[in-house]
Amino acid sequence: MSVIETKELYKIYHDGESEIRAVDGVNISITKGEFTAIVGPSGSGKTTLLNLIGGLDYPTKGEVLVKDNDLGKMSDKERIYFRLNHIGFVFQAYNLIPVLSAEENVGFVMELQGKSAKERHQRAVSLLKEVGLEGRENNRPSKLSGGQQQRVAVARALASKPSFVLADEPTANLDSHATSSLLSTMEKLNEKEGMTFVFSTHDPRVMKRARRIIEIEDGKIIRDYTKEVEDQ
Amino acid sequence: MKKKISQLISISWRNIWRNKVRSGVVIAAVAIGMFAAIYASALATGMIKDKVKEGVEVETSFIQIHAQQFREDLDPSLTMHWSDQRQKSLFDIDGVDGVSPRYKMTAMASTAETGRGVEVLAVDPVLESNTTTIASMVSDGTWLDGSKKRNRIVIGKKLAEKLKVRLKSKVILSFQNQKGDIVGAAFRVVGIYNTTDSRFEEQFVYVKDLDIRRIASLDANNIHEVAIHIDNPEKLDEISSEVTQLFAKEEVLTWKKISPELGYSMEVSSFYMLIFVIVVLISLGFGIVNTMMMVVLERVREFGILMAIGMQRAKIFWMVILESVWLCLIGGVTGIVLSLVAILASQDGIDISSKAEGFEAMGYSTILRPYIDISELGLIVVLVILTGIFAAIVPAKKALKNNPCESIRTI
Repeated sequence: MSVIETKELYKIYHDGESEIRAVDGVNISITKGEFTAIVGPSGSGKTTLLNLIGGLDYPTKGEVLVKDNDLGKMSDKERIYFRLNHIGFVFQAYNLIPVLSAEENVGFVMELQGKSAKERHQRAVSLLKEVGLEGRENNRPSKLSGGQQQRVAVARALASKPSFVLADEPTANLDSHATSSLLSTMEKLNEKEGMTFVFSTHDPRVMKRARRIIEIEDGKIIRDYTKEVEDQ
Repeated sequence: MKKKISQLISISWRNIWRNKVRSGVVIAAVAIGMFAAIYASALATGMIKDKVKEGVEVETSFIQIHAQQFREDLDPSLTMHWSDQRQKSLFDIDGVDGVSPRYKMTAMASTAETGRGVEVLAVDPVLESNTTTIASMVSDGTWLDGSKKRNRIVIGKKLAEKLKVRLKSKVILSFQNQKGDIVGAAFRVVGIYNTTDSRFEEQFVYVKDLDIRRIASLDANNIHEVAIHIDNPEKLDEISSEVTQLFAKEEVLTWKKISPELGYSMEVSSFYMLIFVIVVLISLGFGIVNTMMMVVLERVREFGILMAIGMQRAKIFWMVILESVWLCLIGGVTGIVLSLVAILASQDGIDISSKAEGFEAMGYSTILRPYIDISELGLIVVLVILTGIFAAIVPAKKALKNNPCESIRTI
């Protein structure tokens, strides 16, 4: 069963008389437990596609179904509520709330969900341990490196027990060591907990470790393959 | 719900300290504005309160009784019946601690050089000194009970200057008796009183009732007015209605009706402070709008991320509002505390006697004692909070204008 499905998805911008098709008739289906990278050059439409899948933007045409819920038919308030409970996000940078500690950042979404302080604490500590930040619970983002901040963001994305995690160029500002460490963390979570990850990236290091690659250019999917098939 | 509010309060509190300098400047501006507004209002209120206190304690006392129409016509024949029994009935009212029967007439006070129109209050010196504080205002010489001799007069300092008289000088008082005849007599100045109200000093002179009765052939049982002092100003209306029941045929008035300008002054003083505070808060509000706008524009991306991870727009809106409320509240409370400290520190009074002429001419003291009604501070705090809320509405709306993906793209 698909966790994410798009049907004839379009996002069209108008600049004067010209029409820009950022997403142009995309049909994809992502099932539970996939580790997928949406790749393509700058301006190819991968971030726009990710925004549509994440319900951060409305499509011009077509459907985005997350666990059979059509995001396009939801009100703004419903979409925010849906994101809170079903989608985890990791952004490129400056992802965390600067005035909160690592534990509070992870616990923040659970607080929005109405979870108890005890439950928040237990899960946040456990997730931070899982992403390799044990002992850094009380550090604010400014006291963490870029790689560590991204790992806190991953822990936060998982805190709400989402259906999948969307990561928009998560390694763009990281050095190779931090990139490798972050990808290992995400791979571990994918394998251990069966968490679905979808990245947008043009980082070859991420592409190398993704199991499914969706190549996109000018808003269209030009190639969609899984590594196992490719390897065969 | 409670948890969600405490979450917002906690985050907004931490957010304001992200940029300590900017928040400090806003807080300082609010604190200084509040201090200035409250302290200046307290000075004005203190001035008015002193004027009212002196007006009541020295001049009118709390309640007066007159024959009907006497106050309008000042006709000496419009007298009211007076007796020991009536006096006792007033003293029997719980809360009445001073009763002074008076004769009151307009007269011409003349000296060898000049003359002026005055109002003569002919009083029993002991009863009057128990009813008003005029006896304690005598700064030169003695009050009327200090002399057993006939035809003694106590006049105001200002009148003494105008008439160019000193202690022991003679002043001729000419006035109309009840028959309409002009009578007159020479009075020796035994005391000069000094109040903060130069108009009062210039207008009123005090003589003994016995002297006036003799000179104008007045009857001891027919007087012009009775001044009543009470021990608790809060009971004014209650006592006044009891007096009205006893003196149903006469006109019974409280000081607020006798001197409406004094009553009005008291009423407007708190309103005046409120207006002053509101004007200051409005002007500060514009500064806070500007600051909050900067705060919001710097954090558009952050708000986008908050929306993306599931924070509702309404919560972000209230988070920004609360940040503004915190700034105003800290500044406002600091300003209130500073002004209270300054008010307490200047309770001995601020001497502005260099400007005495103008102030005394308007009936105000030249020693300023700031006064604030503590119960009004609660209202000021509410106004400060409202300023914080209103000042942040536009910036908070701006924070939520974009959709999350547009906000996240903002650098």
